[in-house]
Amino acid sequence: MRLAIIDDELEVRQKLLSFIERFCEEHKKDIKVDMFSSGEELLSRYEEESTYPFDIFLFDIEMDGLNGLETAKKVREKNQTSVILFITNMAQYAVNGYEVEAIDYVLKPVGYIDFSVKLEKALRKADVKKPHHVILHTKDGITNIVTSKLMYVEVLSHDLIYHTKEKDYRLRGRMKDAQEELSSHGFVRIHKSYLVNVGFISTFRLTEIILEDIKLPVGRAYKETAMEAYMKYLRNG
Amino acid sequence: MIYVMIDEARFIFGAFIACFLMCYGALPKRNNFSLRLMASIVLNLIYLYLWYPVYSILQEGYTANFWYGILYVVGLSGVQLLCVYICYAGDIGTIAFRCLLGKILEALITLWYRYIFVYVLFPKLPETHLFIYLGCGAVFYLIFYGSFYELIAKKMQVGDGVVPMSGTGGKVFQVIGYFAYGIIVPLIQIVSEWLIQPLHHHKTYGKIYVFVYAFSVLSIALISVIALSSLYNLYTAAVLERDKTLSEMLLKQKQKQYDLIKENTDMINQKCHVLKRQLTELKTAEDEDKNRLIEDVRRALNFYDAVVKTGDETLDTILTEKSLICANRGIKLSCIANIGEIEHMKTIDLYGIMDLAIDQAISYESAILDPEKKLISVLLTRKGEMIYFSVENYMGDDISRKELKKRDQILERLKTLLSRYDGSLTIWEENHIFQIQMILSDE
Repeated sequence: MRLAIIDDELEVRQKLLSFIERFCEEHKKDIKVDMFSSGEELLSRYEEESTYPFDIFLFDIEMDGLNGLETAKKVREKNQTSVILFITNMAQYAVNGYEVEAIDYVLKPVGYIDFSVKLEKALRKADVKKPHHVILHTKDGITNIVTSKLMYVEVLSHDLIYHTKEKDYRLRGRMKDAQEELSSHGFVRIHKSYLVNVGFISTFRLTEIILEDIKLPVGRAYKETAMEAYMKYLRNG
Repeated sequence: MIYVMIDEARFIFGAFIACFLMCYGALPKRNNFSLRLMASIVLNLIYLYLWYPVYSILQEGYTANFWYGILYVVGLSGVQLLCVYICYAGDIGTIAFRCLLGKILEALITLWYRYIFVYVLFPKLPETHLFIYLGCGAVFYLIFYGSFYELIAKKMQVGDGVVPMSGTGGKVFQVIGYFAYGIIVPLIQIVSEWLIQPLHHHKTYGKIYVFVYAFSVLSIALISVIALSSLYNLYTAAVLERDKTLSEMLLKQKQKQYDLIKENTDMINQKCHVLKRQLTELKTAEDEDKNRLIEDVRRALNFYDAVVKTGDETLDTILTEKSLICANRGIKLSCIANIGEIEHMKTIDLYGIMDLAIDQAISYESAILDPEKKLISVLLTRKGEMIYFSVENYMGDDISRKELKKRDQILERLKTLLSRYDGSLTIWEENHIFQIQMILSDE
């Protein structure tokens, strides 16, 4: 896991680094940390790159020049899935943190417990956002699709149909196997015929869910587990 | 025979409609209401079909056979209770209470129409002029049901699910009361129609027939009117009790608000004294100390920078109030909330949900001694057509039974509020963090 700290105060950067080291020791984690003294430094170092090589960003909001929020907006242009945490003196900026999909913020002076709770949340989310691929053996050949593009899997007769936004893929298979492969990657069984990517759920009703504009029924036997899985996804994803 | 079956249909469906009339507007309908209603009608038609063999047995006139009649009416009461239960959402006690009112209504109509208007004035009407009999019956039912609905049933739609006797004992009592009425009144009817009526032309017993008949009619009237009046009074008493409880809750809220305002005022006064002292020190401070003192003053002013802007005025008010409370109690509150205006939720429900969820966290955190552990995180965001709301707070190793009980009560109240918007609630307890997650529809 790679983490970037962007703060103009050396004292704060060192404090955060010591907190991260303590956290890694306590939780047996391995986090590689890079530090930047300004938003400009981060942006200029990776100007030529198509993406920033970090899973988690810790931005101080109040910095001279480009502040944390503005820097985060620039980072989001290249990294849509990285996790962003803010460090701030002032509560009202944190509300705007939602514009860049920040997951939370830490108030100064930063305490270890507050920081460790938020860092754990960030690590959980960063873990979920890692891309996972599924290999499909269709009649047309072998296809590799990333699960974040897979909306749902449907069973029809003895075939499985993998529905993505662009195309559907039909192949022989059992729903049980698809469920085993995908359930740890944000997929949940909502019906005997459907396995759904919770990331695409826009509405969750008692008897049906809506994936963008597709309505799928929720089976009575699956209602509870589907809701539990959806809530778990909202918590971690 | 046809008119007997038609009259029985009048009785069955008259009671069926009366039960539904008492639930209409007072209880929420279950999903697929139309289908459930169709199924209920079919069930009643099937039960009507059973009347023919029972009627044949009753015609024989032996006392023992009247138990068949009793069994039939008890079964009918059970079937109609079940039909209403599958159509309307409510506990069995509430349904039984309302069905009992329906039964009383039907008994009163039968009394007036069949036992007084027809039997006394036009005894041959059903056999000789069936359609006139049905037409007059329809008019009677319309007038009676319409008047009852306007004068009584509407007044009993106030309650929001209020029942006179709550708790398991109350529900059992209401179900027993429903079946008891369903046995007593038909028993009187069966005695007068099947036991006494055949003796009408008997030389000796015919003379007592009139008295027994009159006594039966009066008994039904008296029992029904007393039952109706008692039930109505019980209901209004329950509504008043509920209103009293609400008023007490509002009073408690007002007291809580007052305590909060006082707490904030005291804190503001304290901070003002501190700021005055710091400004005095600034005047005489050296350059080195000036920077430190300015930083101290800035930090003190940030304390009051608790105004939250989410795009929805109600949310802004609640979250600003909570952030001030947290600031007063040394609780670090982080809040990510930007969902724009909430259109379809009632303000009072939104306030209730957020107030309960955040207050339970504040209540727990206020008791924690270590300032580093006094943490609350609030997240409010949109997920498609839904609103997602999460409150996390730090949780120590020990939580008292009293705290647990209080928390469970709050969770139950949250579930009740969320159910109005097809909402769900989940809790997580992991690594010293307690989280309440809620999702609800904003459609």
